Amino acid sequence: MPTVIENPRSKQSGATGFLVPKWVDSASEARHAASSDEEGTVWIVRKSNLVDSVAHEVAVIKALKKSGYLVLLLDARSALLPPLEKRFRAVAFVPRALSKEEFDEVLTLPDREDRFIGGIVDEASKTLTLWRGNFKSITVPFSAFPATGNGIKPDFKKFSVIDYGHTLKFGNYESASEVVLFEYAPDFRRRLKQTRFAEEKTLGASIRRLRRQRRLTRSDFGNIDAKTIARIEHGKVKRPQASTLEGIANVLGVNRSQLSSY
Amino acid sequence: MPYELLLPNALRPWKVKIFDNELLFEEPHVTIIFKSTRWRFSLRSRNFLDKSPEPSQVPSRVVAQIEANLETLCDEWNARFPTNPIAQLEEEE
Repeated sequence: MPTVIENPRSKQSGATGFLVPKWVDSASEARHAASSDEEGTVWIVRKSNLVDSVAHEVAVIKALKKSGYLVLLLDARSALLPPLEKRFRAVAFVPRALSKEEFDEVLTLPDREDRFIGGIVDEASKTLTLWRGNFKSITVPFSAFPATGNGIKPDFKKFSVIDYGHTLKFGNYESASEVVLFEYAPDFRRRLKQTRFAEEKTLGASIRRLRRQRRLTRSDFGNIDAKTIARIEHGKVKRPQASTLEGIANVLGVNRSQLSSY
Repeated sequence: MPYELLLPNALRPWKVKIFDNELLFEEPHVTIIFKSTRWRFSLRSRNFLDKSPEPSQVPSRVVAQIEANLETLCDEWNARFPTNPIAQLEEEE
């Protein structure tokens, strides 16, 4: 039998507290979701007719106070957003979500913000909107998931979230969730800097991380000499010229002022 | 397709994976997953990369499986991420 592990960080009320999932499976539960003022509750709706019931009830009771979160495991319906967003702290259309068991568990974890609960693919704009466990969304271009060195490519039509939010799956291609968080979530990067990168907080270290994540060598910076890049990365240039930093930022695809955040 | 190490039935639901998209500035590694918890184990230094979660929570039999298959795991990593190979590139030093 496998060892049973109690995650030392789980089930503790952290700075953000943990959330209570409630699955809405009947009309009476939909009415309750619309009228409840339970702050830490996440209402999860799987059926379109029950979403209609929630929205209708919200309109009837004219509730003004925001409380709780609403997760709709359905394709987005933009007409519903304005009324529902007045009622709930966040409204997430998440047609591709974690399984029920994993969803319920993730909401109780203090590090839920570093996991994804699901997302929605938009083929037209070639973007993927992902919902974190803290109900903040991140929209990323398909290019955030490059082919591997041996040619494995993501199939965005087969998107799902697995491994309790640690893995983004696109058919036969799987991405670690933290790749997206590193690139698109400044709060996640700040926490990494306090932990994993505690000994490498310099601007040079940030440039090196970003360059390596972009799969670039020091020779890929046009008219900026590879030796100059190496000296900056190693902290041997204390104050690089603004024009050099601008050039580096351009190649790395970020704003110059953001460089040190990576 | 991520590389997933085939573990004996007795070790399920433990998983050992090499993803297809990873943080490439960090040491080449496998990700060990047990339900909602995961650990990272370096293929270069052959140590756990993080102090938390506690590495001792991973059964020694899982680590033994990784060590017994290191050559395959390193090959799989190198094939996916040629810019961050197990053998550190000289120019990166």
